[in-house]
Amino acid sequence: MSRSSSRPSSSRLPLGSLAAILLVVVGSAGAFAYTAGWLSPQRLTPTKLVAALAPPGGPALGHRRNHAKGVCFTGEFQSNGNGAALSTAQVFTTGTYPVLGRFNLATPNPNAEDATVRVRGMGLQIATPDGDVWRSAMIDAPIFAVSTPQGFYELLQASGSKDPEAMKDFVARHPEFVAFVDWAGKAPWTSSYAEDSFNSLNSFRFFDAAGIARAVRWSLRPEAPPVPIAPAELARRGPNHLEQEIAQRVAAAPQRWTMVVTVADSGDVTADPTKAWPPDRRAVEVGTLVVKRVEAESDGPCRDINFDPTILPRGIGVSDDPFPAARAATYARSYDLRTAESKDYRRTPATGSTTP
Amino acid sequence: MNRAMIHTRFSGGQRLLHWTMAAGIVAMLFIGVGMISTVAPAYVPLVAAHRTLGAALFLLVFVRLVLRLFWVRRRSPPICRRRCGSARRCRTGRSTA
Repeated sequence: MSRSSSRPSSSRLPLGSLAAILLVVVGSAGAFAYTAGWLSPQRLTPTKLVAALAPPGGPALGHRRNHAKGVCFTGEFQSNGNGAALSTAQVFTTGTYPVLGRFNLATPNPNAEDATVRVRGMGLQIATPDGDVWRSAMIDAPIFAVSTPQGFYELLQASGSKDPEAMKDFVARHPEFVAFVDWAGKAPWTSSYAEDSFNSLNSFRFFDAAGIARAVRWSLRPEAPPVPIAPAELARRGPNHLEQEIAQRVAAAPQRWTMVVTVADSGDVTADPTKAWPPDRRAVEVGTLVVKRVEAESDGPCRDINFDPTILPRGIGVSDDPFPAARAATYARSYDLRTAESKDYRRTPATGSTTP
Repeated sequence: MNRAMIHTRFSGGQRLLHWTMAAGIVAMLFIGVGMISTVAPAYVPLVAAHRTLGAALFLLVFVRLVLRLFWVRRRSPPICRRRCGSARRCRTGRSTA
């Protein structure tokens, strides 16, 4: 443009500049709104998922928004070195590493009666001297209920709906749910966390020293033989039988689980936790979890731990399974909420074994 | 204070640092608002980027302070010198009256 300062151009220039400034401001605001999801109300957000988990009466303030009922444990992971061929993570070199964890029930109600909750879980954290931490949150079901985070959201909506057709419609749209219902109906219950297996369900990737990545899932298999029990009999033992039983059992003797890492063959589905891999897949026993002490959650070491499954040591990474990221985002939302509500979930004065 | 040379302009390096940090801060705003509003697989790399960028900016703030205090200092703008009476008082922030 001309550098002359004749009147017409000097009056046009500011207008042009103003338009440019406006464009930048509106464009930036629009891009920000888009990024924040304000222009896409259909986007599944952690806020929506956490809200959908809440029971009709609202969430239990100060508690995890799901798997709200639980008890802390500490112990160690005794690595036998077998996993070192699969992953460079220090946790797989022969040695003993401190463990912190939580037995829990898959319910948003921290006061739920044990016999009313079908799915049990274990949160686990293994720390290694190199500063890495491996967190995992597993459940006792051998497969997950739905294939995608969106499917999980729809399941929560359908099961909370008053419409009698809602669940039927859900199953029609998510036929993969049938296998989970089948497990829930047929699999035996146990009367102890110590007799349950806990499975990662989600696929992760292990990186070996040569940099080769392998898709894996892992499970913790109990040393204690499972003794089946009818839910009605479990109910008769009391609403908090599981916490009391595991505390007594661990006080009498440490309880053990074998960690088994299952390696996928090329072609196995890793992006869908409803699809179990064939039973003949390579399975490596990498070590033993030893639970040595059980503590109540309100003052326990697991209380403020977010068992975010994407907190992984070097040598382990996420795969194309969409759940770990979705769980991390949702757990973070739950963690933000519950830690801000800590006045609603008081720490209790120490009694007996713990000191203030 | 005496160690700082008085220049009329910030050096190229300082300007580069300034605009790099500005871009980083704007990027963090976008990454932050994006990561808390999605459950998509992008959540994991977004959190990692946000953490890395935040730590880098935190360190750059100290680089910036050191440069400002001990290495190269720009002369205060004329309006500031007029209001403060003297450039030195303005720089040291002793008076704004």
